Amino acid sequence: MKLKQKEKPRFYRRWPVFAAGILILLQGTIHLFIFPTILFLNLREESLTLIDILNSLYWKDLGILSAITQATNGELVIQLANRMINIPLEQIYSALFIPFSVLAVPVTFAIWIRYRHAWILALLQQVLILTLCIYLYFNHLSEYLYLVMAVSVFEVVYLNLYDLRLVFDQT
Amino acid sequence: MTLGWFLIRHNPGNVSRKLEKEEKLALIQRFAPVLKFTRGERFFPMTVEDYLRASSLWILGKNKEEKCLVPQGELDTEKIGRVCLPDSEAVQFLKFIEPVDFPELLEFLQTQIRQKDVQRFHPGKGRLARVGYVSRFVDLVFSLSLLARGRVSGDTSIAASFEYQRIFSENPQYTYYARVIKQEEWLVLQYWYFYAFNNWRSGFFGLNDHEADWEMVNIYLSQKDEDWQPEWVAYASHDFSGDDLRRHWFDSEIEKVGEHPIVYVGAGSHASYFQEGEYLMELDVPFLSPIYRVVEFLSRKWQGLVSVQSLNDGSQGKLLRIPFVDYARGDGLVVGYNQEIDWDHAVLFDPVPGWVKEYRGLWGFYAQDPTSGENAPSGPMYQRNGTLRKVWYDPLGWAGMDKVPTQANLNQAINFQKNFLLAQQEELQGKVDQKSQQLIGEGVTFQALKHEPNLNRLAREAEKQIDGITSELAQLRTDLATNELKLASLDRYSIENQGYAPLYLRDHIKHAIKPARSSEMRTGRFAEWWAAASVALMLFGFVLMLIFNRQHIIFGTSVMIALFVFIESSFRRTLPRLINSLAIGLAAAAGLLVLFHYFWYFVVFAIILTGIFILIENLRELF
Repeated sequence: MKLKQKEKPRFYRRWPVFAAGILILLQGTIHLFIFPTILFLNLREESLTLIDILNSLYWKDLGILSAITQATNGELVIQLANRMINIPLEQIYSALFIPFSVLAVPVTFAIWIRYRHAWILALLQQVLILTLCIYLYFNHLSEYLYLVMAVSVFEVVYLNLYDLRLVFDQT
Repeated sequence: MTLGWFLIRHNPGNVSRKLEKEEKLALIQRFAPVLKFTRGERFFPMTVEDYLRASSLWILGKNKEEKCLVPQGELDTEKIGRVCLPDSEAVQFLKFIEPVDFPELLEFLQTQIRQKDVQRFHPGKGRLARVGYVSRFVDLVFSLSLLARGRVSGDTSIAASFEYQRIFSENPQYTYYARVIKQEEWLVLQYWYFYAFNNWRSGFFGLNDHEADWEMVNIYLSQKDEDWQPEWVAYASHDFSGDDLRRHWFDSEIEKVGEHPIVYVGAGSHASYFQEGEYLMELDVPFLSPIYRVVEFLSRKWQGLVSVQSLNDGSQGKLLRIPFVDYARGDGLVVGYNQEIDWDHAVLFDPVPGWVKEYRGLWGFYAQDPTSGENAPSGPMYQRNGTLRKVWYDPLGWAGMDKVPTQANLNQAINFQKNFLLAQQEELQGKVDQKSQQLIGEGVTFQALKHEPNLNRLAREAEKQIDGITSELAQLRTDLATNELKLASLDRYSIENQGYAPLYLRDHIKHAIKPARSSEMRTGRFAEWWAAASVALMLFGFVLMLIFNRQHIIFGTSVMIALFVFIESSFRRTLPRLINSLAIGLAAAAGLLVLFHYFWYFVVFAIILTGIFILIENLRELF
């Protein structure tokens, strides 16, 4: 019987794998907070407090949730008790990145436990993010997109480093 | 040096007595290769006499008019060499066969159906499944170009097959031709095989079809103890030449039956290979070469950026090349001494017969194909343009053997080279001494002139002189040191190669042609069907969109291409590479957009960074 030749163990450094997970988590955090940050920046001038928003949610004539559907002339109109706040629709699209922050968690763990397909999952995530970015760039351009694109470009380059490819057998 | 080298190469001790014809024939038969064919092969090595009897001799003049010089049935080896060309631009050629008529075609199809499965050729994994989409499109264009170029019609191959069977039934002989050439200290056994037809395209999905085919194998012998020993073997494969064609006799790649090397013959193409298998040959499209270079340059740059060296599997350059598979499986007939089929006839070219020397025309139909692929070849001695074949007049140079000494002469060659280098060293040392002396003299002169205010001009000239001599001296000393290294290396090489064979048998090979690995051949039947049909499906899809959804043609085509590429890469198990390439492409686009938007910020940032770097470097000197 011919014995299968044992594969030579491949040595790699651990910290790039750990760092890749951290970077993806950071990227997810950015995606998670872009929309709230934009909302906050828009609402800041109105001196709103969290209480105001919560009150508005329960107020009978309002409100925030129904107002989201009232987008007209490229703006989202949030109708509060005593005033209206207009937020450009381009900025509202930043909410589309929130699902990627959810996706970032399993991808990070997959990388840390060195799951065989983690590398390709991470890259697939970057493909989806960049595709969305480029679509939004040409249709609903807003300043936050540059940050998202820059982070994603960095991720693609980092994921292609030899150390990481070696770990996930992509050399 | 010339005289010394001449003495080594023509050392009176090494010069063998002139071999008699019988001795040459004995050597030829002793090492005659065993040919292993692929199942489904229809043409085997035959005698030229039989072929000529079935052929007619034609000429195509300057006015593009074909004229029959010798009709079918009257041509023989005597007549073929005697016909003179009326003008230099005329092309002489033979016509072996006319295309079949309908009843013959039906008969052929019946034979094919009746043929036992064990004799039939099965292509296995389709050639198109082995390459990417772009290559398939280029292949489509190539196939269409056959309609415009001159070509040998498909049914000619069927007719040739019938005619060969008829000839074989009358004279069932397997024949080879041979030549013995003494070049330098080598004795070259040159084996020539003549086939009536090359049906690579029509029979085995290959590149071309043409009437007549000459193939060749060289065995290089050296003299040892009054006997001739094989040292190297070179097999002709398509139009390749150079070091990659030869292997050492003891190379594990060479299979042998006793003293007979085994040649795996390509199905239809009759090209010769050292190992059995399926060889992916790729045809370069010349006008696409700038694109190859751009693709290769970009992939190199990317690999440099992410520090990946092992990614380059050569596939980038193959992107736009047309794939053809040369099947050399060796599962068909075996022809060789004491084999399944024995050689009936060995013809020694001694003296070289008139039909080889005098006939410079083509050995089959002249299809007037500008790329020459479908034109018949010329004989063993000449190329299609009438000039001598390199392998005929310089069999050593053809396989890069002209720089290789025989194993017996290796030490002599090393010693000669060492003596040559030692002589050079002596000469160099003399020059170094002289230049050193001269430099010291000029140095002293310069020192003397420097302190004489009225002799400033002379001092400057002396300074220039010193610079010139210094650089000459540096070069001479570099040469001396280099020669020392060479001498030491030659000593080590001499000690390492004391045996009957050199220590490193494969150092000369740059790009060895390898058969496809079994892992590359593992593709599902559906993937092969997909590979065969996908280009046509894409074209049909495009037409349907053009008819029914013209306003979204660009978007639709992009989605369709993306879908096809996705399916394709799933089949080929290259999905990770595809996703990575996609990510890189999108990242490059996004990176450019960011750079464009923040260009001046990037510039300012880069300047600040540079400033900080310089500041830190300069400050470090202070502490």
